[in-house]
Amino acid sequence: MPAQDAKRWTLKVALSQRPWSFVASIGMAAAFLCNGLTPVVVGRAVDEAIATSSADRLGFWMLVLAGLFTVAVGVNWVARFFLIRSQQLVSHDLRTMVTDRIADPRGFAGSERTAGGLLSIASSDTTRVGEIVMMTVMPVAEAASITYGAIMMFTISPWLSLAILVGGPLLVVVALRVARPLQARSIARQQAIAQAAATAADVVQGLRILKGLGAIVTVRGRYAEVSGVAYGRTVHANAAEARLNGATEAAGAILVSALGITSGALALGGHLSIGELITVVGLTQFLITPMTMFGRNLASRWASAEASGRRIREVLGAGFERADEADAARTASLVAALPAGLTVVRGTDDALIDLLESLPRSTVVVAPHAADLFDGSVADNVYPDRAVADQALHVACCEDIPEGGDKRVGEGGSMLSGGQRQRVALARAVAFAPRVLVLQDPTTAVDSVTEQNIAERVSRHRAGMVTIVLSEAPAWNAVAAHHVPATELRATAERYLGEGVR
Amino acid sequence: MTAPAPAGADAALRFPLATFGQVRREVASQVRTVRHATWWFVLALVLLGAGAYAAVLVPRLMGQIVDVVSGASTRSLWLIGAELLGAAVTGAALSATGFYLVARLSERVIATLREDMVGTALELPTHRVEDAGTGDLVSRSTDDVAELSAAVTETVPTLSTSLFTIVATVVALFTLDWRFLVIPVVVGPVYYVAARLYLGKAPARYAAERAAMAERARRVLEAIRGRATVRAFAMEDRMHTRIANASWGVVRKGIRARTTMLVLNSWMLGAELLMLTIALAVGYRLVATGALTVGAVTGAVLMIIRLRGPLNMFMRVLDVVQSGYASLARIVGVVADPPAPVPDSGVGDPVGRVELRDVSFSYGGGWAVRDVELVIEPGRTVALVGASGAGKTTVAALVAGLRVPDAGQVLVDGYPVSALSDRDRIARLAMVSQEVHVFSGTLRQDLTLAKPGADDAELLAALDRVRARAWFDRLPHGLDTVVGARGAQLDPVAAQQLALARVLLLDPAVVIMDEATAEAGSAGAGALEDAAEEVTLGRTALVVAHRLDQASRADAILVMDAGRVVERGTHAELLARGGTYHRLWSAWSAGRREVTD
Repeated sequence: MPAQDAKRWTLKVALSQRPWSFVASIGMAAAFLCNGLTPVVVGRAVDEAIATSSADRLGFWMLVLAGLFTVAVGVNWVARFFLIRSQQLVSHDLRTMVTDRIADPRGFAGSERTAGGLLSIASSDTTRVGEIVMMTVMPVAEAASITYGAIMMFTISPWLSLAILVGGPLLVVVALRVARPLQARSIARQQAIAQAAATAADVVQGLRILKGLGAIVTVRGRYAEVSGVAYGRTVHANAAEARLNGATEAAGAILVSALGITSGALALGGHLSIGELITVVGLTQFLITPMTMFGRNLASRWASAEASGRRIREVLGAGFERADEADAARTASLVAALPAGLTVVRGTDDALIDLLESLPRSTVVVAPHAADLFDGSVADNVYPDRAVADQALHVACCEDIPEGGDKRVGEGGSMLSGGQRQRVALARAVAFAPRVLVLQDPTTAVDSVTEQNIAERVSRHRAGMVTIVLSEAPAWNAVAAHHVPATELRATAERYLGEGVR
Repeated sequence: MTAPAPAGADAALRFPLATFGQVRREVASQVRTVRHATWWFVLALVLLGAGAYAAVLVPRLMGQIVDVVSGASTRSLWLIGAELLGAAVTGAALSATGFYLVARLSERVIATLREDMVGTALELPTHRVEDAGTGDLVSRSTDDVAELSAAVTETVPTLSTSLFTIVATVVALFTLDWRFLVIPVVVGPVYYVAARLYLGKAPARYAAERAAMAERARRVLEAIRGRATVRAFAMEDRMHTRIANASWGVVRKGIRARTTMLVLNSWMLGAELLMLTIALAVGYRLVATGALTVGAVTGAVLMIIRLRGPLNMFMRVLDVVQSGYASLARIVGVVADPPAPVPDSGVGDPVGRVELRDVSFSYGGGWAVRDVELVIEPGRTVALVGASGAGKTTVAALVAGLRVPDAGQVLVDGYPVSALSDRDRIARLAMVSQEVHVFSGTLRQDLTLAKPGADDAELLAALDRVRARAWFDRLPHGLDTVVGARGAQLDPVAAQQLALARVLLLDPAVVIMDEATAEAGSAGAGALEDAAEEVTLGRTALVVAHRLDQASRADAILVMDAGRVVERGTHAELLARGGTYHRLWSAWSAGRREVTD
């Protein structure tokens, strides 16, 4: 994979699976040539066998045709297999790079990125760039076909060959021209359809609230509006597509007709044999598709891959939100200065959290308030070692979860209640058993009875280690060994870590 | 009372799959709603047919050129040339127009179908909404609608042109000489077998690929959403492995799915060889017997060579057609026979009296709520207190009408709550739960869901009353800021305040708050609790409280344990009693004293 600031990045990405993508290109060109040879063989059969009623020649040409198709099956298979494989591997490699960057502990500088936006870059955009491998395969085969057509024509008549070489690029230009509105419109269509789907999902997921608000008529109207826009955009894009198809088809047919008439006139003048005429007519039929597709592919795929590529490179090259972790010596001195046992910190201070988060994560774990769980079992979410996980689950009072540690949590923990999610997240923090554990409002979704139990168990379990709890909850206050205002703790941290940290 | 809990019936709401007849009837009736649909449809068919025929004329005319040269025909080369150009241009124009008409008509039908689908979801009886969330309604109204739209957009152009080209070619071959019919007769079954083999394998493999993609999206999304957690616990390597495995699954399944296409491709090449061989053999015979000219045979084989493209396209969209039809059948299954909405009950204006008479409820398995008696007079606030799993949330859901009791009655203003229609419920009942949902769209759109005609001043006043001005003033475009899934991400406290603001705008007689302040950490605690307090003012309220100070201010407190109410009374009464509540309160206030020390 090229560096994200490399020149011609998209092309380099498209070629990153070489030499296997070259196998696909060569194979595809061979497959196209087999297609191109079909009318030639058939033309010869008509000329030599049918026109002269020669059964022997007919048999011969049928065998040649069978041989040609056998080769075609083989090269098609090889070409398409390696094309698919290269596409998949390019997407996979890009996706891994993007997700690694997203998970980088140093974070993203600048404005907040939405989960949906990042997901679409990590999935749709990487897929779209992966498909760009197609552009190193199909155009090669199409160009090979056109060249082959021109050469075949040249052996028959240089003028016809010239017509192919002029007419081919002309068709590409026509396709590129007509395809332009389609690009913009199909993007608009995709967006509108996605919007309609998202609105439908929104309505069904928020159905309980909508029913509660009595907003049925309003929402119906809003959905009808979005759906109407999607309909309008789709039809608009379809119109552009119809025009593109019509124009390229007509242009191709005109070229073919012109070639047919010209070669007919040449044959009438005695410059071409009937066999040659049939070959020319057959070749032109074969050439229409590569000529029109060349332009259409170029127009539609490359531009969207470039756009996706830009978004991917923007993520890969994004600046970091925070610097590297604080050095070990300073961390050690700060940790030594923190009081052992459970400390409740009063008040909130974002700068304090930032400071603590800059410490090495092997020593200091700052558990986020949001209880993010990952699909899998409860125990998997807590700790890889089951015994440790079970013990931590006990500390966090997770006994009410049916099936206990084996319970599946679902996507984002959706199979658990809010309170259960929060306690499993707390169990995870406890299980990691860092030298210093910082908890931020760890029990807001837990009832007061359970909250007291949790506070007691956590303070007992982590006796001798440093536990800092940012919370106003009475339960934590009751078990705390120390109470410190946030500003004071921050002052301590700044004293030990110095100015160089941030 | 030792009656066993009712056996857990599968409460999930499931809709049937429509039969072919139902799908046909529904689509036909949808088509009829489009003005002059029949005429447009007939016109489109005529255009497509004529266009395909004109396109097929091109190779035939080419064959005539051969005949002119070989002396078999005496037509003018220039006349043939003119016909060629005419056929080429008209064919392209007619096909394009026909495609456009078909696409427009089918997109209209899809748009109406998806609107009906969402309409059906919206009109579900309230007590079935909970089931719908876990049922297949979500996937039908999102995935299936998307699948169908994509299938139609993708296949209509291909199908309409390729199908007509194939038919026109067969017709053209037949008009050349009837004996060419041997080609479709022999090759037709080959294509049929190839299609059957393909459709036997492809849908499952493509479904496996899609499932792998969904799994990958889930993995990526959870890593993105949970990136604070990933960072905090240094789980980067674990996440990398999980995502890489999921992504690799897509690579494997994707290659496998497409190999099915490679097999189909080989079949198609074989069938094409067969067609050409038969055409040559038939042509040989016809020319030898003098029935046909060499040029006509050339035209015939050219037509067959030209058929490759349309045939390939046709076979390749077969699986999309199949999955599109499956989605259509699932959609029609819902809209063809929607669950009837609850009719108006005849209850009077909202008063706000809530009564639970000997109510029991089970999710299947044991009793979740047992013999609960409760009366809340208009304007009063009752708090529910207890440990997790005591049944507080279930009681809230029963009062909100989201669940129907297995025994006993839940009455609101004297009527069973599940018998209230959507209209009866407006301005009567509202529920705010811990699970908040911010609707996609502008903040104004979100708020006006509760009160469509509200002006900006009212909206701002509501935001003010729920203490939301602090974050509202930081929004870049005020009420026009886009929020929800595709806009600004509101933090949980803000989302909860928004939910409370909606309730204020709705102004219901009864509000049910299930852990509505749970998200409040030390940062948002004050604001969110004040907001919740504001919402209970002047109306009947049932509050499931985590914070005892919130409960202590209620007119009455119910302490629940294992589905039963174990203590009830005012804060003072319960403290005097020295029971469970007293124990909870003393532990809680002990902690609180430490803070104030």
